[in-house]
Amino acid sequence: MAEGKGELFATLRIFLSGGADPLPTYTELAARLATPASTLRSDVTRLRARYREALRVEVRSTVERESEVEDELRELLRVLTCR
Amino acid sequence: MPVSTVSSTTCAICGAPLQGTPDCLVCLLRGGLDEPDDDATLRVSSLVLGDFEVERRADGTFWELGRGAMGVTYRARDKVLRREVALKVIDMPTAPDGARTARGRFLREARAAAVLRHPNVAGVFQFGAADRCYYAMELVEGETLEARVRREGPLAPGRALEVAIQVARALVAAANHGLVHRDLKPANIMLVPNETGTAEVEVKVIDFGLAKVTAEAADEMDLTHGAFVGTPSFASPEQFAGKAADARSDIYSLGVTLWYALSGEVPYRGKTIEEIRSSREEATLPVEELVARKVPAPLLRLLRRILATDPGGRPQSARTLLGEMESCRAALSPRRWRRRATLAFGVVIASALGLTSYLLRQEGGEIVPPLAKSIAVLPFENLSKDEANAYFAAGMQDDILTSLAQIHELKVISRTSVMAYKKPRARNMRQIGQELGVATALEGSVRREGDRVVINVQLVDTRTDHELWANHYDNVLADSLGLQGQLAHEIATALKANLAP
Repeated sequence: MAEGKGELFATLRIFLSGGADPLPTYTELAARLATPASTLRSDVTRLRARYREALRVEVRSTVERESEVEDELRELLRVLTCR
Repeated sequence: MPVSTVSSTTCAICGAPLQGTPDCLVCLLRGGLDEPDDDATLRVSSLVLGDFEVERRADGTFWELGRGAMGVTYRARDKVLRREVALKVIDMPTAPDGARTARGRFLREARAAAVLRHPNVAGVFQFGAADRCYYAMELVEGETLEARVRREGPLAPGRALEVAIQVARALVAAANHGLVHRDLKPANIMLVPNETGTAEVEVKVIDFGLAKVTAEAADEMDLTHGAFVGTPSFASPEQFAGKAADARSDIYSLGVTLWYALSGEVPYRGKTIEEIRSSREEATLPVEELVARKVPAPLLRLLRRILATDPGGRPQSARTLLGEMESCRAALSPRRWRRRATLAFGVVIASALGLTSYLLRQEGGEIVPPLAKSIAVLPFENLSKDEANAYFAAGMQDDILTSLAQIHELKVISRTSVMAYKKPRARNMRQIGQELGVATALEGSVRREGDRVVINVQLVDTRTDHELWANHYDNVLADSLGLQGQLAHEIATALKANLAP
Protein backbone atom coordinates (compact mmCIF):
# COMPACT_ATOMS: atom_id res chain seq x y z
CA MET A 1 0.00 0.00 0.00
CA ALA A 2 2.66 2.47 -1.12
CA GLU A 3 -0.01 4.93 -2.15
CA GLY A 4 -1.11 5.45 1.44
CA LYS A 5 -4.26 3.44 1.06
CA GLY A 6 -3.49 0.86 3.72
CA GLU A 7 -6.54 1.73 5.76
CA LEU A 8 -8.83 1.49 2.75
CA PHE A 9 -7.28 -1.86 1.84
CA ALA A 10 -7.82 -3.16 5.36
CA THR A 11 -11.49 -2.24 5.06
CA LEU A 12 -12.01 -3.62 1.58
CA ARG A 13 -9.90 -6.78 1.77
CA ILE A 14 -12.95 -8.76 2.87
CA PHE A 15 -14.20 -8.38 -0.72
CA LEU A 16 -11.21 -10.47 -1.75
CA SER A 17 -10.67 -12.79 1.13
CA GLY A 18 -14.15 -13.55 2.45
CA GLY A 19 -14.12 -14.82 6.01
CA ALA A 20 -16.51 -15.45 8.86
CA ASP A 21 -18.08 -11.99 8.77
CA PRO A 22 -20.83 -11.26 6.25
CA LEU A 23 -19.95 -8.93 3.40
CA PRO A 24 -21.11 -5.36 4.15
CA THR A 25 -23.25 -3.65 1.55
CA TYR A 26 -21.73 -0.78 -0.40
CA THR A 27 -24.30 1.54 1.13
CA GLU A 28 -23.38 0.59 4.68
CA LEU A 29 -19.68 0.79 4.00
CA ALA A 30 -19.98 4.10 2.18
CA ALA A 31 -21.77 5.60 5.16
CA ARG A 32 -19.10 4.31 7.51
CA LEU A 33 -16.24 5.67 5.38
CA ALA A 34 -18.04 8.86 4.41
CA THR A 35 -17.45 8.05 0.75
CA PRO A 36 -19.93 7.86 -2.12
CA ALA A 37 -21.03 4.30 -2.77
CA SER A 38 -20.12 4.63 -6.45
CA THR A 39 -16.52 5.52 -5.50
CA LEU A 40 -16.40 2.57 -3.17
CA ARG A 41 -17.63 0.25 -5.89
CA SER A 42 -14.89 1.51 -8.20
CA ASP A 43 -12.31 1.01 -5.45
CA VAL A 44 -13.41 -2.58 -4.99
CA THR A 45 -13.35 -3.24 -8.73
CA ARG A 46 -9.80 -1.83 -8.99
CA LEU A 47 -8.70 -3.82 -5.94
CA ARG A 48 -10.04 -7.01 -7.41
CA ALA A 49 -8.34 -6.38 -10.74
CA ARG A 50 -4.97 -5.69 -9.14
CA TYR A 51 -5.29 -8.68 -6.84
CA ARG A 52 -6.21 -10.91 -9.76
CA GLU A 53 -3.17 -9.69 -11.66
CA ALA A 54 -0.84 -10.26 -8.68
CA LEU A 55 -2.22 -13.74 -7.99
CA ARG A 56 -1.88 -14.83 -11.60
CA VAL A 57 1.73 -13.63 -11.66
CA GLU A 58 2.45 -15.80 -8.63
CA VAL A 59 0.72 -18.83 -10.13
CA ARG A 60 2.46 -18.23 -13.48
CA SER A 61 5.80 -18.81 -11.76
CA THR A 62 4.68 -22.33 -10.81
CA VAL A 63 3.53 -23.51 -14.27
CA GLU A 64 5.22 -23.76 -17.64
CA ARG A 65 2.86 -21.78 -19.83
CA GLU A 66 0.63 -18.75 -19.40
CA SER A 67 -2.29 -20.79 -20.68
CA GLU A 68 -1.94 -23.14 -17.71
CA VAL A 69 -2.60 -20.47 -15.10
CA GLU A 70 -6.36 -20.59 -15.45
CA ASP A 71 -6.45 -24.39 -15.29
CA GLU A 72 -4.14 -24.41 -12.29
CA LEU A 73 -6.40 -22.02 -10.39
CA ARG A 74 -9.49 -24.03 -11.27
CA GLU A 75 -7.81 -27.25 -10.19
CA LEU A 76 -6.85 -25.71 -6.85
CA LEU A 77 -10.44 -24.55 -6.41
CA ARG A 78 -11.75 -27.96 -7.32
CA VAL A 79 -9.55 -29.59 -4.71
CA LEU A 80 -10.74 -27.15 -2.07
CA THR A 81 -14.44 -27.32 -2.82
CA CYS A 82 -15.23 -30.76 -4.21
CA ARG A 83 -16.85 -33.17 -1.77
CA MET B 1 -30.46 -24.42 16.16
CA PRO B 2 -26.99 -23.90 17.57
CA VAL B 3 -25.53 -22.13 14.57
CA SER B 4 -23.01 -20.33 16.71
CA THR B 5 -20.98 -23.50 17.05
CA VAL B 6 -20.34 -23.65 13.36
CA SER B 7 -20.68 -20.11 12.07
CA SER B 8 -17.07 -19.22 12.70
CA THR B 9 -15.81 -22.20 10.72
CA THR B 10 -17.33 -21.32 7.38
CA CYS B 11 -16.96 -18.39 5.02
CA ALA B 12 -19.88 -15.99 5.11
CA ILE B 13 -19.49 -15.30 1.40
CA CYS B 14 -19.26 -18.74 -0.14
CA GLY B 15 -19.84 -21.22 2.69
CA ALA B 16 -16.52 -22.97 2.33
CA PRO B 17 -14.79 -24.20 5.52
CA LEU B 18 -12.25 -21.65 6.74
CA GLN B 19 -9.73 -24.31 7.73
CA GLY B 20 -8.44 -22.40 10.72
CA THR B 21 -7.56 -19.21 8.86
CA PRO B 22 -9.41 -15.87 8.99
CA ASP B 23 -9.31 -15.64 5.18
CA CYS B 24 -11.22 -17.93 2.86
CA LEU B 25 -8.88 -19.75 0.47
CA VAL B 26 -11.75 -20.44 -1.90
CA CYS B 27 -12.66 -16.75 -2.20
CA LEU B 28 -9.00 -15.83 -2.63
CA LEU B 29 -8.59 -18.35 -5.45
CA ARG B 30 -11.81 -17.31 -7.16
CA GLY B 31 -10.43 -13.78 -7.25
CA GLY B 32 -7.75 -14.92 -9.68
CA LEU B 33 -10.07 -16.42 -12.27
CA ASP B 34 -11.14 -14.99 -15.59
CA GLU B 35 -14.77 -14.65 -14.53
CA PRO B 36 -16.71 -11.42 -14.28
CA ASP B 37 -16.80 -10.42 -10.63
CA ASP B 38 -19.27 -7.58 -10.47
CA ASP B 39 -22.00 -7.69 -7.90
CA ALA B 40 -24.83 -7.26 -10.35
CA THR B 41 -25.39 -10.98 -10.20
CA LEU B 42 -28.82 -11.12 -11.72
CA ARG B 43 -28.83 -10.44 -15.43
CA VAL B 44 -31.82 -10.05 -17.69
CA SER B 45 -30.90 -12.23 -20.64
CA SER B 46 -29.79 -15.13 -18.50
CA LEU B 47 -30.43 -16.06 -14.91
CA VAL B 48 -27.08 -15.80 -13.19
CA LEU B 49 -26.53 -15.77 -9.45
CA GLY B 50 -22.96 -15.51 -8.32
CA ASP B 51 -20.97 -18.22 -10.05
CA PHE B 52 -24.08 -20.07 -11.19
CA GLU B 53 -25.97 -19.77 -14.44
CA VAL B 54 -29.35 -21.42 -14.69
CA GLU B 55 -29.49 -23.82 -17.61
CA ARG B 56 -32.20 -23.79 -20.23
CA ARG B 57 -34.19 -26.63 -21.68
CA ALA B 58 -34.37 -27.24 -25.43
CA ASP B 59 -37.40 -24.95 -25.69
CA GLY B 60 -35.45 -22.07 -24.16
CA THR B 61 -37.17 -22.06 -20.76
CA PHE B 62 -35.18 -22.13 -17.54
CA TRP B 63 -34.58 -25.69 -16.39
CA GLU B 64 -36.69 -26.04 -13.26
CA LEU B 65 -36.12 -29.09 -11.10
CA GLY B 66 -38.81 -28.23 -8.60
CA ARG B 67 -40.99 -25.44 -7.35
CA GLY B 68 -42.32 -24.94 -3.86
CA ALA B 69 -43.87 -22.30 -1.67
CA MET B 70 -40.45 -20.90 -0.81
CA GLY B 71 -38.88 -20.69 -4.22
CA VAL B 72 -37.68 -22.53 -7.25
CA THR B 73 -34.92 -25.08 -7.71
CA TYR B 74 -33.10 -24.96 -11.04
CA ARG B 75 -30.54 -27.04 -12.76
CA ALA B 76 -27.58 -24.69 -13.08
CA ARG B 77 -23.94 -24.66 -14.03
CA ASP B 78 -21.11 -23.57 -11.81
CA LYS B 79 -19.19 -21.41 -14.28
CA VAL B 80 -16.05 -21.48 -12.20
CA LEU B 81 -15.78 -25.17 -11.46
CA ARG B 82 -17.66 -26.16 -14.61
CA ARG B 83 -20.00 -28.59 -12.91
CA GLU B 84 -23.73 -29.02 -12.73
CA VAL B 85 -25.54 -28.09 -9.53
CA ALA B 86 -29.06 -27.79 -8.17
CA LEU B 87 -29.63 -24.11 -7.45
CA LYS B 88 -32.40 -23.18 -5.05
CA VAL B 89 -33.49 -19.55 -5.39
CA ILE B 90 -35.54 -18.37 -2.48
CA ASP B 91 -38.33 -15.84 -2.70
CA MET B 92 -37.51 -12.88 -0.52
CA PRO B 93 -39.64 -10.14 0.96
CA THR B 94 -39.78 -6.92 -1.02
CA ALA B 95 -39.81 -4.58 1.99
CA PRO B 96 -36.21 -3.51 2.86
CA ASP B 97 -36.47 -4.33 6.57
CA GLY B 98 -38.05 -7.68 5.90
CA ALA B 99 -35.45 -8.50 3.29
CA ARG B 100 -32.61 -7.61 5.63
CA THR B 101 -34.01 -9.80 8.40
CA ALA B 102 -34.72 -12.69 6.08
CA ARG B 103 -31.27 -12.41 4.50
CA GLY B 104 -29.61 -12.51 7.92
CA ARG B 105 -31.55 -15.62 8.87
CA PHE B 106 -30.79 -17.21 5.56
CA LEU B 107 -27.05 -16.67 5.97
CA ARG B 108 -27.09 -18.09 9.50
CA GLU B 109 -28.94 -21.23 8.49
CA ALA B 110 -27.11 -21.72 5.21
CA ARG B 111 -23.75 -21.52 6.95
CA ALA B 112 -24.87 -24.16 9.42
CA ALA B 113 -26.19 -26.41 6.65
CA ALA B 114 -23.01 -26.02 4.60
CA VAL B 115 -20.94 -27.93 7.17
CA LEU B 116 -23.08 -31.05 6.89
CA ARG B 117 -21.35 -33.60 4.69
CA HIS B 118 -22.57 -37.15 4.50
CA PRO B 119 -23.06 -39.69 1.73
CA ASN B 120 -26.82 -39.61 2.33
CA VAL B 121 -27.12 -35.83 2.22
CA ALA B 122 -26.97 -33.65 -0.89
CA GLY B 123 -24.26 -31.25 0.24
CA VAL B 124 -24.57 -27.47 0.03
CA PHE B 125 -21.65 -26.24 -2.10
CA GLN B 126 -22.14 -22.52 -1.91
CA PHE B 127 -24.69 -19.89 -1.02
CA GLY B 128 -25.20 -16.22 -1.58
CA ALA B 129 -27.45 -13.43 -0.43
CA ALA B 130 -26.65 -10.44 -2.65
CA ASP B 131 -29.71 -9.45 -4.63
CA ARG B 132 -31.41 -12.76 -4.11
CA CYS B 133 -30.84 -15.57 -1.63
CA TYR B 134 -29.77 -18.83 -3.18
CA TYR B 135 -27.81 -21.93 -2.42
CA ALA B 136 -26.15 -24.45 -4.69
CA MET B 137 -26.46 -28.09 -3.82
CA GLU B 138 -24.99 -31.25 -5.18
CA LEU B 139 -27.06 -32.17 -8.23
CA VAL B 140 -28.52 -35.59 -7.59
CA GLU B 141 -29.38 -37.47 -10.78
CA GLY B 142 -32.33 -39.64 -9.91
CA GLU B 143 -35.92 -39.30 -8.85
CA THR B 144 -37.62 -38.44 -5.62
CA LEU B 145 -39.17 -41.10 -3.44
CA GLU B 146 -42.49 -39.43 -4.15
CA ALA B 147 -42.00 -39.78 -7.91
CA ARG B 148 -40.90 -43.40 -7.54
CA VAL B 149 -44.01 -44.33 -5.55
CA ARG B 150 -46.25 -42.47 -7.99
CA ARG B 151 -44.59 -44.24 -10.91
CA GLU B 152 -44.23 -47.77 -9.56
CA GLY B 153 -46.59 -47.89 -6.59
CA PRO B 154 -45.63 -48.73 -3.00
CA LEU B 155 -42.21 -50.19 -2.28
CA ALA B 156 -41.65 -53.69 -0.91
CA PRO B 157 -41.16 -53.57 2.89
CA GLY B 158 -37.47 -54.46 2.69
CA ARG B 159 -36.72 -51.77 0.17
CA ALA B 160 -38.83 -49.14 1.96
CA LEU B 161 -36.98 -49.90 5.18
CA GLU B 162 -33.61 -49.67 3.40
CA VAL B 163 -34.52 -46.20 2.16
CA ALA B 164 -35.62 -45.17 5.65
CA ILE B 165 -32.39 -46.53 7.14
CA GLN B 166 -30.31 -44.41 4.79
CA VAL B 167 -32.37 -41.36 5.71
CA ALA B 168 -31.85 -42.21 9.38
CA ARG B 169 -28.10 -42.24 8.77
CA ALA B 170 -28.41 -38.74 7.35
CA LEU B 171 -30.34 -37.73 10.48
CA VAL B 172 -27.57 -39.11 12.69
CA ALA B 173 -24.98 -37.04 10.81
CA ALA B 174 -27.22 -33.97 11.05
CA ALA B 175 -27.70 -34.45 14.77
CA ASN B 176 -23.93 -34.27 15.19
CA HIS B 177 -24.13 -30.72 13.86
CA GLY B 178 -27.28 -29.79 15.77
CA LEU B 179 -29.26 -29.68 12.54
CA VAL B 180 -32.93 -30.52 12.14
CA HIS B 181 -34.45 -30.90 8.69
CA ARG B 182 -38.01 -29.82 9.59
CA ASP B 183 -39.44 -30.75 6.22
CA LEU B 184 -38.59 -34.38 5.70
CA LYS B 185 -40.90 -35.91 3.11
CA PRO B 186 -40.75 -38.14 0.01
CA ALA B 187 -40.23 -35.11 -2.24
CA ASN B 188 -37.03 -34.29 -0.33
CA ILE B 189 -35.58 -37.78 -0.62
CA MET B 190 -33.74 -38.58 -3.81
CA LEU B 191 -33.20 -42.14 -5.01
CA VAL B 192 -30.23 -42.72 -7.25
CA PRO B 193 -28.91 -45.90 -8.82
CA ASN B 194 -26.02 -47.15 -6.75
CA GLU B 195 -22.87 -47.38 -8.84
CA THR B 196 -21.14 -49.74 -6.43
CA GLY B 197 -23.86 -52.33 -6.80
CA THR B 198 -23.86 -53.03 -3.08
CA ALA B 199 -27.42 -51.79 -2.58
CA GLU B 200 -30.37 -51.33 -4.86
CA VAL B 201 -30.66 -47.61 -4.31
CA GLU B 202 -28.65 -44.86 -2.80
CA VAL B 203 -30.57 -42.23 -0.90
CA LYS B 204 -29.77 -38.55 -0.61
CA VAL B 205 -31.75 -36.12 1.51
CA ILE B 206 -32.00 -32.65 0.02
CA ASP B 207 -32.62 -29.21 1.59
CA PHE B 208 -31.16 -30.24 4.94
CA GLY B 209 -31.33 -27.56 7.62
CA LEU B 210 -32.84 -24.97 5.33
CA ALA B 211 -36.56 -25.55 5.66
CA LYS B 212 -36.93 -23.14 8.53
CA VAL B 213 -35.10 -20.25 6.99
CA THR B 214 -36.85 -20.61 3.65
CA ALA B 215 -40.18 -20.72 5.44
CA GLU B 216 -39.29 -17.65 7.45
CA ALA B 217 -38.28 -15.82 4.31
CA ALA B 218 -41.67 -16.60 2.87
CA ASP B 219 -43.41 -15.55 6.08
CA GLU B 220 -41.93 -12.10 5.80
CA MET B 221 -43.66 -11.79 2.49
CA ASP B 222 -46.86 -13.60 3.19
CA LEU B 223 -48.09 -13.42 6.75
CA THR B 224 -51.00 -15.70 6.01
CA HIS B 225 -48.53 -18.51 5.70
CA GLY B 226 -48.41 -18.50 9.49
CA ALA B 227 -45.70 -19.98 11.69
CA PHE B 228 -45.97 -23.41 10.15
CA VAL B 229 -42.69 -24.87 8.97
CA GLY B 230 -42.92 -28.09 7.03
CA THR B 231 -45.38 -29.93 4.84
CA PRO B 232 -48.62 -30.63 6.72
CA SER B 233 -49.11 -34.23 5.60
CA PHE B 234 -45.65 -35.18 6.88
CA ALA B 235 -45.34 -32.78 9.80
CA SER B 236 -45.22 -33.85 13.42
CA PRO B 237 -47.97 -33.03 15.94
CA GLU B 238 -45.63 -30.58 17.68
CA GLN B 239 -45.10 -28.73 14.39
CA PHE B 240 -48.87 -28.40 14.13
CA ALA B 241 -48.88 -27.01 17.65
CA GLY B 242 -46.33 -24.39 16.65
CA LYS B 243 -43.73 -25.80 19.01
CA ALA B 244 -40.03 -25.98 18.27
CA ALA B 245 -39.13 -28.96 16.12
CA ASP B 246 -36.31 -31.15 17.35
CA ALA B 247 -34.79 -34.41 16.16
CA ARG B 248 -37.88 -36.31 17.28
CA SER B 249 -39.96 -34.24 14.90
CA ASP B 250 -37.79 -35.35 11.98
CA ILE B 251 -38.15 -38.92 13.25
CA TYR B 252 -41.93 -38.58 13.08
CA SER B 253 -41.74 -37.18 9.54
CA LEU B 254 -39.52 -40.06 8.53
CA GLY B 255 -42.16 -42.39 9.95
CA VAL B 256 -44.86 -40.82 7.77
CA THR B 257 -42.48 -41.01 4.82
CA LEU B 258 -41.90 -44.72 5.48
CA TRP B 259 -45.65 -45.19 5.71
CA TYR B 260 -46.05 -43.45 2.36
CA ALA B 261 -43.35 -45.64 0.80
CA LEU B 262 -45.15 -48.76 2.04
CA SER B 263 -48.65 -47.75 1.01
CA GLY B 264 -48.61 -44.76 -1.33
CA GLU B 265 -50.68 -42.90 1.25
CA VAL B 266 -50.09 -40.93 4.43
CA PRO B 267 -51.73 -42.18 7.63
CA TYR B 268 -53.71 -38.99 8.29
CA ARG B 269 -55.25 -37.31 5.27
CA GLY B 270 -56.84 -33.96 4.57
CA LYS B 271 -56.82 -31.12 2.10
CA THR B 272 -56.06 -28.46 4.69
CA ILE B 273 -53.94 -28.21 7.79
CA GLU B 274 -57.11 -28.28 9.89
CA GLU B 275 -58.42 -31.41 8.18
CA ILE B 276 -55.14 -33.20 8.74
CA ARG B 277 -55.03 -32.11 12.36
CA SER B 278 -58.59 -33.33 12.91
CA SER B 279 -57.86 -36.62 11.21
CA ARG B 280 -54.96 -37.27 13.57
CA GLU B 281 -56.80 -36.18 16.68
CA GLU B 282 -59.94 -38.12 15.92
CA ALA B 283 -58.58 -41.36 14.50
CA THR B 284 -56.12 -43.98 15.64
CA LEU B 285 -53.20 -44.95 13.47
CA PRO B 286 -54.78 -46.95 10.61
CA VAL B 287 -52.36 -49.86 10.93
CA GLU B 288 -54.89 -52.18 9.29
CA GLU B 289 -54.09 -50.51 5.95
CA LEU B 290 -50.51 -51.73 6.20
CA VAL B 291 -51.58 -55.13 7.52
CA ALA B 292 -53.67 -55.49 4.38
CA ARG B 293 -50.53 -54.81 2.38
CA LYS B 294 -48.74 -57.58 4.26
CA VAL B 295 -46.28 -55.28 5.97
CA PRO B 296 -44.44 -57.51 8.49
CA ALA B 297 -45.26 -57.19 12.18
CA PRO B 298 -41.78 -55.99 13.31
CA LEU B 299 -42.05 -53.08 10.88
CA LEU B 300 -45.55 -52.26 12.09
CA ARG B 301 -44.34 -52.22 15.71
CA LEU B 302 -41.52 -49.88 14.73
CA LEU B 303 -43.90 -47.56 12.88
CA ARG B 304 -46.22 -47.39 15.88
CA ARG B 305 -43.31 -46.16 17.97
CA ILE B 306 -42.03 -43.68 15.41
CA LEU B 307 -45.50 -42.23 14.87
CA ALA B 308 -46.32 -41.76 18.55
CA THR B 309 -48.17 -38.47 19.01
CA ASP B 310 -46.15 -37.72 22.13
CA PRO B 311 -42.50 -37.09 21.15
CA GLY B 312 -41.53 -38.90 24.35
CA GLY B 313 -42.98 -42.11 22.96
CA ARG B 314 -40.72 -42.11 19.90
CA PRO B 315 -37.10 -43.14 19.59
CA GLN B 316 -35.40 -40.22 21.30
CA SER B 317 -32.55 -39.73 18.88
CA ALA B 318 -31.65 -40.47 15.31
CA ARG B 319 -29.01 -42.92 16.49
CA THR B 320 -31.59 -44.85 18.53
CA LEU B 321 -33.92 -44.83 15.55
CA LEU B 322 -31.18 -46.17 13.29
CA GLY B 323 -30.44 -48.96 15.76
CA GLU B 324 -34.11 -49.93 15.91
CA MET B 325 -34.40 -49.87 12.15
CA GLU B 326 -31.31 -52.04 11.77
CA SER B 327 -32.75 -54.53 14.25
CA CYS B 328 -36.01 -54.52 12.34
CA ARG B 329 -34.17 -55.16 9.09
CA ALA B 330 -32.32 -58.05 10.71
CA ALA B 331 -35.65 -59.46 11.88
CA LEU B 332 -36.97 -59.28 8.32
CA SER B 333 -33.86 -60.68 6.69
CA PRO B 334 -34.13 -64.04 4.94
CA ARG B 335 -31.15 -65.27 6.98
CA ARG B 336 -33.06 -64.69 10.20
CA TRP B 337 -36.08 -66.47 8.80
CA ARG B 338 -33.91 -69.36 7.66
CA ARG B 339 -32.41 -69.54 11.13
CA ARG B 340 -35.88 -69.58 12.69
CA ALA B 341 -36.99 -72.28 10.32
CA THR B 342 -33.90 -74.29 11.20
CA LEU B 343 -34.58 -73.73 14.87
CA ALA B 344 -38.19 -74.86 14.47
CA PHE B 345 -37.04 -78.00 12.74
CA GLY B 346 -34.50 -78.56 15.49
CA VAL B 347 -37.20 -78.20 18.12
CA VAL B 348 -39.23 -80.97 16.46
CA ILE B 349 -36.25 -83.29 16.49
CA ALA B 350 -35.35 -82.33 20.04
CA SER B 351 -38.91 -82.97 21.10
CA ALA B 352 -38.64 -86.47 19.80
CA LEU B 353 -35.53 -86.88 21.88
CA GLY B 354 -37.20 -85.53 24.98
CA LEU B 355 -35.19 -82.32 25.03
CA THR B 356 -38.01 -79.91 24.30
CA SER B 357 -38.39 -78.60 27.78
CA TYR B 358 -34.70 -77.68 27.96
CA LEU B 359 -34.84 -75.70 24.72
CA LEU B 360 -38.09 -73.95 25.60
CA ARG B 361 -36.69 -72.82 28.90
CA GLN B 362 -33.77 -71.31 27.04
CA GLU B 363 -35.99 -69.63 24.45
CA GLY B 364 -38.38 -68.33 27.07
CA GLY B 365 -35.58 -66.88 29.09
CA GLU B 366 -36.54 -68.75 32.28
CA ILE B 367 -33.20 -70.43 32.57
CA VAL B 368 -30.24 -68.57 31.13
CA PRO B 369 -27.00 -70.49 31.35
CA PRO B 370 -24.05 -68.38 32.44
CA LEU B 371 -21.98 -67.01 29.58
CA ALA B 372 -18.90 -69.10 29.09
CA LYS B 373 -15.81 -66.95 29.37
CA SER B 374 -14.23 -67.76 26.06
CA ILE B 375 -14.31 -66.19 22.61
CA ALA B 376 -12.90 -66.61 19.13
CA VAL B 377 -12.65 -63.44 17.05
CA LEU B 378 -13.05 -64.79 13.53
CA PRO B 379 -11.49 -63.10 10.48
CA PHE B 380 -13.64 -60.18 9.31
CA GLU B 381 -15.07 -60.45 5.83
CA ASN B 382 -13.95 -57.77 3.38
CA LEU B 383 -17.03 -56.76 1.37
CA SER B 384 -15.23 -53.95 -0.47
CA LYS B 385 -14.48 -54.32 -4.14
CA ASP B 386 -10.89 -53.32 -3.56
CA GLU B 387 -8.94 -56.25 -2.22
CA ALA B 388 -6.48 -53.81 -0.68
CA ASN B 389 -9.13 -53.09 1.94
CA ALA B 390 -8.63 -56.60 3.28
CA TYR B 391 -5.88 -55.05 5.38
CA PHE B 392 -8.46 -52.84 7.03
CA ALA B 393 -10.66 -55.85 7.85
CA ALA B 394 -7.67 -57.79 9.19
CA GLY B 395 -6.65 -54.80 11.29
CA MET B 396 -10.13 -54.55 12.81
CA GLN B 397 -10.04 -58.20 13.85
CA ASP B 398 -6.55 -57.83 15.28
CA ASP B 399 -7.39 -54.71 17.32
CA ILE B 400 -10.51 -56.27 18.81
CA LEU B 401 -8.67 -59.47 19.62
CA THR B 402 -5.89 -57.55 21.37
CA SER B 403 -8.36 -55.48 23.34
CA LEU B 404 -10.33 -58.52 24.50
CA ALA B 405 -7.16 -60.34 25.47
CA GLN B 406 -6.72 -57.78 28.22
CA ILE B 407 -9.81 -59.03 30.06
CA HIS B 408 -8.78 -61.32 32.88
CA GLU B 409 -10.46 -64.70 33.08
CA LEU B 410 -11.55 -64.42 29.44
CA LYS B 411 -10.10 -67.07 27.19
CA VAL B 412 -9.32 -65.51 23.79
CA ILE B 413 -8.28 -67.77 20.95
CA SER B 414 -5.13 -66.66 19.16
CA ARG B 415 -5.24 -65.07 15.73
CA THR B 416 -3.24 -67.93 14.26
CA SER B 417 -5.81 -70.50 15.39
CA VAL B 418 -8.83 -68.62 14.03
CA MET B 419 -7.26 -68.02 10.60
CA ALA B 420 -8.35 -71.53 9.63
CA TYR B 421 -11.92 -70.15 9.53
CA LYS B 422 -11.30 -67.37 7.04
CA LYS B 423 -14.13 -68.23 4.65
CA PRO B 424 -17.37 -66.94 6.21
CA ARG B 425 -19.65 -69.02 4.03
CA ALA B 426 -17.96 -72.26 5.08
CA ARG B 427 -18.33 -71.57 8.79
CA ASN B 428 -20.21 -73.86 11.10
CA MET B 429 -20.43 -72.12 14.43
CA ARG B 430 -21.14 -75.23 16.46
CA GLN B 431 -18.18 -76.97 14.91
CA ILE B 432 -15.94 -73.97 15.51
CA GLY B 433 -17.04 -73.90 19.14
CA GLN B 434 -16.18 -77.56 19.58
CA GLU B 435 -12.86 -77.40 17.72
CA LEU B 436 -11.60 -74.30 19.52
CA GLY B 437 -13.29 -75.01 22.82
CA VAL B 438 -15.12 -71.66 22.96
CA ALA B 439 -18.67 -70.80 23.85
CA THR B 440 -18.82 -67.61 21.79
CA ALA B 441 -17.49 -66.36 18.49
CA LEU B 442 -17.41 -62.87 17.02
CA GLU B 443 -17.77 -62.46 13.29
CA GLY B 444 -18.08 -59.34 11.22
CA SER B 445 -17.81 -57.68 7.85
CA VAL B 446 -16.19 -54.48 6.68
CA ARG B 447 -17.27 -52.52 3.62
CA ARG B 448 -15.53 -49.38 2.44
CA GLU B 449 -17.31 -47.16 -0.06
CA GLY B 450 -15.54 -43.95 -0.91
CA ASP B 451 -15.06 -42.12 2.33
CA ARG B 452 -17.46 -44.35 4.29
CA VAL B 453 -16.79 -47.49 6.19
CA VAL B 454 -19.62 -49.79 7.24
CA ILE B 455 -18.93 -52.48 9.81
CA ASN B 456 -21.34 -55.16 11.00
CA VAL B 457 -20.44 -57.38 13.93
CA GLN B 458 -22.28 -60.13 15.73
CA LEU B 459 -21.52 -62.25 18.73
CA VAL B 460 -22.77 -65.81 18.38
CA ASP B 461 -23.30 -68.52 21.00
CA THR B 462 -21.53 -71.44 19.37
CA ARG B 463 -23.55 -73.96 21.36
CA THR B 464 -26.86 -72.79 19.94
CA ASP B 465 -25.83 -70.69 16.90
CA HIS B 466 -27.93 -67.92 18.44
CA GLU B 467 -26.96 -64.30 18.03
CA LEU B 468 -26.16 -62.87 21.47
CA TRP B 469 -25.36 -59.35 20.39
CA ALA B 470 -24.93 -57.44 17.13
CA ASN B 471 -24.18 -53.94 16.05
CA HIS B 472 -23.77 -51.81 12.95
CA TYR B 473 -21.25 -49.03 12.54
CA ASP B 474 -21.41 -46.51 9.72
CA ASN B 475 -18.72 -43.88 9.79
CA VAL B 476 -17.15 -41.36 7.52
CA LEU B 477 -13.60 -42.43 7.01
CA ALA B 478 -11.19 -39.61 7.65
CA ASP B 479 -8.28 -41.30 9.35
CA SER B 480 -8.37 -45.03 8.69
CA LEU B 481 -5.97 -46.01 11.44
CA GLY B 482 -7.64 -43.77 14.00
CA LEU B 483 -11.10 -44.98 13.02
CA GLN B 484 -9.97 -48.60 13.07
CA GLY B 485 -8.69 -48.23 16.62
CA GLN B 486 -11.74 -46.28 17.74
CA LEU B 487 -14.20 -48.81 16.33
CA ALA B 488 -12.23 -51.72 17.71
CA HIS B 489 -12.34 -50.05 21.11
CA GLU B 490 -16.11 -49.48 20.83
CA ILE B 491 -16.77 -53.05 19.79
CA ALA B 492 -14.49 -54.46 22.47
CA THR B 493 -16.20 -52.30 25.11
CA ALA B 494 -19.61 -53.55 24.04
CA LEU B 495 -18.37 -57.11 24.09
CA LYS B 496 -16.87 -56.70 27.52
CA ALA B 497 -20.31 -55.77 28.80
CA ASN B 498 -21.61 -59.04 27.42
CA LEU B 499 -18.68 -61.24 28.26
CA ALA B 500 -16.99 -59.84 31.32
CA PRO B 501 -17.16 -62.10 34.40
